[in-house]
Amino acid sequence: MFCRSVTSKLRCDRRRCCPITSTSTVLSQGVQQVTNRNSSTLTTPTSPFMNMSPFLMQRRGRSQTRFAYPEGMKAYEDDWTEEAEYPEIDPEIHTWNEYRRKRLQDELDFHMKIRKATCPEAKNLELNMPKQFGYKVFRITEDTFDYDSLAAYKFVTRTHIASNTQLPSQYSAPVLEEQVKHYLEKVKKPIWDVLQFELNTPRSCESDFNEFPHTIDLKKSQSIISQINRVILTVLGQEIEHLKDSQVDSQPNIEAFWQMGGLEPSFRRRNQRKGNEKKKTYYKLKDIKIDDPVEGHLHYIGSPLLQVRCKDPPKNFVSPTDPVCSRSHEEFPDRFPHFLEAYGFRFAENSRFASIIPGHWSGDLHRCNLLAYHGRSHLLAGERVDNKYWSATEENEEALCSQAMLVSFGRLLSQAFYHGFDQFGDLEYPFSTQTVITNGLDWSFFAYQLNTIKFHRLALAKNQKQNVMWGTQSESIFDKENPNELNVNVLGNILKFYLNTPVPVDVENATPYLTSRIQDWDDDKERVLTFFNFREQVCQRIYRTDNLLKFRPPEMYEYEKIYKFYFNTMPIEPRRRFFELPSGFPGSQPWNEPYKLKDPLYESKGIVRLKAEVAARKEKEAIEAAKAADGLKFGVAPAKSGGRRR
Amino acid sequence: MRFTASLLNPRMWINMRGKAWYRFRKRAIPDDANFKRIIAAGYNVVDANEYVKPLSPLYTDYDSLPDLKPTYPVPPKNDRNNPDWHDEICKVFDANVFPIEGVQQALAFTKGVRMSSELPGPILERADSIKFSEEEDKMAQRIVQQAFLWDSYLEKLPIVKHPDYPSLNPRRVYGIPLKRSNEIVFKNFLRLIESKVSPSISLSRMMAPEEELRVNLERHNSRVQFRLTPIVNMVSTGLLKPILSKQEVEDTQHLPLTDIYPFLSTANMEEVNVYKEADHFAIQPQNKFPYIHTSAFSHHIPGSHIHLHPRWNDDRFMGATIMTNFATALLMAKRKYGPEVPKILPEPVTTQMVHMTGKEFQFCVLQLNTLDLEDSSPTSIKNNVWITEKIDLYSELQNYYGKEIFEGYNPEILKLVAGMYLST
Repeated sequence: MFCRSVTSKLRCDRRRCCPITSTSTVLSQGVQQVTNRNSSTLTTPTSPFMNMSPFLMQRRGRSQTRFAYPEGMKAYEDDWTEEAEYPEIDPEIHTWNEYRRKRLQDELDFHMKIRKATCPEAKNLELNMPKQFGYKVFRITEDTFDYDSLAAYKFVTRTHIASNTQLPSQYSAPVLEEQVKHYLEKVKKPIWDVLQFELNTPRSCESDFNEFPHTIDLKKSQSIISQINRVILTVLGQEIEHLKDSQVDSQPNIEAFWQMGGLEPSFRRRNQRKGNEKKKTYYKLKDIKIDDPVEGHLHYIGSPLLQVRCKDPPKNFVSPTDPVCSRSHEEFPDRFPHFLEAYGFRFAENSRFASIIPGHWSGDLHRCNLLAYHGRSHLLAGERVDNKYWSATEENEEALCSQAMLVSFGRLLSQAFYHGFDQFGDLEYPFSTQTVITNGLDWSFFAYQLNTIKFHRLALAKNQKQNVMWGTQSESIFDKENPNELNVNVLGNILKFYLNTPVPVDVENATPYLTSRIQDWDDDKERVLTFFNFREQVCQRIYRTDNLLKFRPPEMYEYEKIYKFYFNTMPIEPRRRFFELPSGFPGSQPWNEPYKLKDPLYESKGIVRLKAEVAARKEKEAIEAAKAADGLKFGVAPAKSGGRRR
Repeated sequence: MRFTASLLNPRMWINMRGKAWYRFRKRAIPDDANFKRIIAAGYNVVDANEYVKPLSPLYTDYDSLPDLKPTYPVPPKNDRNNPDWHDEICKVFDANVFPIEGVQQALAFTKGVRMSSELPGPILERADSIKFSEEEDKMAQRIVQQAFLWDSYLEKLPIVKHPDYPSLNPRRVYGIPLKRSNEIVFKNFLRLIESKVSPSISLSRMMAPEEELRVNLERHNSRVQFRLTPIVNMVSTGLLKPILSKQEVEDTQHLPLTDIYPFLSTANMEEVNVYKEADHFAIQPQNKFPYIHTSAFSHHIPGSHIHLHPRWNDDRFMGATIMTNFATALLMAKRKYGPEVPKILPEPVTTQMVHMTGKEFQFCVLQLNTLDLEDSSPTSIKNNVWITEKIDLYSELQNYYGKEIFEGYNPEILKLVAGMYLST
């Protein structure tokens, strides 16, 4: 036993300082073998087995291979040092048990996989790989913003509101003001015409009983905005380079997915944690306290009414080293003390794949958003109408503010992702954008700077950055005193947003983690697999590839719940369903199994056979047709089937 | 489910039914006499409602109003009880209907003569006068790619069956619907042109909202209604100038009229009893921009994503283009001369139209000289039609599992659109 333990220790701690002296290394012949740098072998006459009884020597001889080095392995002098070299001690994790460490290592590996993926499609695919049915997410849309919910939106986007009434100082630069003055005169009359045209044109949806007020509002604001955008681009587009070269999307779909740590665990999760204490495998989990915060997945799905994109992003409003950009701990604590559901976030959906889309696919290189228009139709529906204490001044402004911070954050996060930055390694430089929220008559303007997106469980507390937003109160486009004229302030703000010139990023390589486009991949098979599965996930399609019967995500039926789960009335029934399998058994946790790639070009046997049949039939028809044609040419009637052949 | 002891288990019984009274009880605020104690202790108690904000004007408390629930009228059925029911049958021409005899039928219906297989000379001259630089050409190509490759809008597209394997049901793919692609291409082409021409021209135009157009007409002693939904409807301050002068129009009198006997020219139109009688055009006559300048239509057959349908062919497609353009011209004539239009128009009405299938563009110009369609005498005045064949925008454009293939872009189309845009 002694010898065995010695060899096993040697084997695993090879490159470290070995506390065992050289004399204790044992070889099968009872002779120590040490190799120096010049790899010359030394032999020593001493052996621990010299004093052994002949009986033991005899026993040893029979099982000598147990104590030998594996074949080809030798001991080197370099393996020993004078002083011990211990591995670095991480104060955070040195008290952790091996299971927790392994889990951490797995997570870090997952982050590195996403980082090493070469294009946004592959990154998105990697993000979804751990879960075959997708994540459990909070789906956030612009449909409603609840009463007094600004705090929650601020926390999940970590946005500091620098000013509620004023845009950043960049917009009051004298050069910009002069430009605005110049163009204001040209734009005033056509915009007035647009408003007259739109407001005096009745729609069929207005008299439709099945249409809701907020959908009508959205349609009207959509057409007003597209007209105003058209007017401004025609006037400014000829003279201003970045507008001429821009791309315009109407109602693109924008999706953003991020992990948010520091959320309150639900009662169900708490009960689970309590129950875990009774388990045999409690030692794996005992470091997690019952009230520890949990990580949630947030999925923003929205669509601006209109979006203008350029090659370069607009200039940042403040430097990233500015004190505004560093986190204030009072505003953004490590943990949000309430449930998100209490702030109007919908209950988590069980299966949704992560999809990050900035309104275009990666082939389009105009990937920086200049400005986007959003509607404010949510102020005519949902919480706004149901809540009797909602006041038009304060709560409206708060709702618009939270909408602006949500949509700007979501848009910029997806834009950053298409620049190669994921949320596990942070941004390397900030991104900025401009947001207009309007129904065509009331306008509010917001400027947003994205400094950080690293909010996952491990990094939330350490992250010392915050995002910044500036905004204005909503204002009518018509002048207050003279309603027959337009509000110069609003028009000026619109023009300023268009005239804000994009500047190339001041970095050597703006996309360090995008090494190759999917279009340029040489490996066709890999490209097809990656692209197809990426698109499947983005479309939220779920299926299992291995078994046709298991198309859908697993579900426990009602009869199973009663007769198998609560009351064990079917003890002789074979235990095949996922909830009956012992823990750790393959298939016992279907939600946590990895995604299985599907090959779109695979053809099953039946289809191959069908295709062969069709091809054969076609060939036969072609031959018969040729024969018939030949027969006609030489004046012979075509042979009937079953007729006599030569 | 078997009814067994498990279901009758008292725990389940209590959970499911026995506690129903608790769930559905009427809740009241318990009076625990704390206020009395506080007041007795000498504190001043104020009602919380004094500090609550005034009620929102939009708020309606449906609970306080007995039996008042928001109700919506049931959509009327397609029968005699429908308020729009008429005993007289109406023949409807819309996006699903095609003229069965193609161009011949369309010309017979509109009493038109086809002048040439190209657009009229002035439009071609204007198209040639605009020269697009290389950069603008690249921008135009980018627009096409944006519409068909890069737009991230996803919708479940209809089934596309393989003609060789009709028994197979392929999986429905997600992608950009054809209508949206066409809209992106056309609107962005207009944007590109507007950034080139002088703003005074483009500011005298306006984009009408997406609304259905309805026009009525009497033909072969039956009522005919056109129902059109253009994707882009450009309106302007005035009507387009006629392309042929009065003398030239009279010169076209000798051209023969088409005859599709034994069919009537209203053949294959859908016969309905439920319809609205009046014409409909969302833009009011007193508006600053009352007239249609150019309208663009997206041709997508319901039920098939690609332009592959056994009953549609190029000839019928072209016929549909002429019919649609005729309808817009008729609408404009009614706008100018009122509902009772003189049979022979004092001044001709001209309209332009673009018909798109995603890959192909077709351009049509129609000059409406007469509405005396029943008069088929060989010497009567006729309407003039210029219509091109289908022109390809590109030869190949697809995303084959990540590989973007874009070949054979045709710059002529942008030029023709510009030529149409510039016509006054």
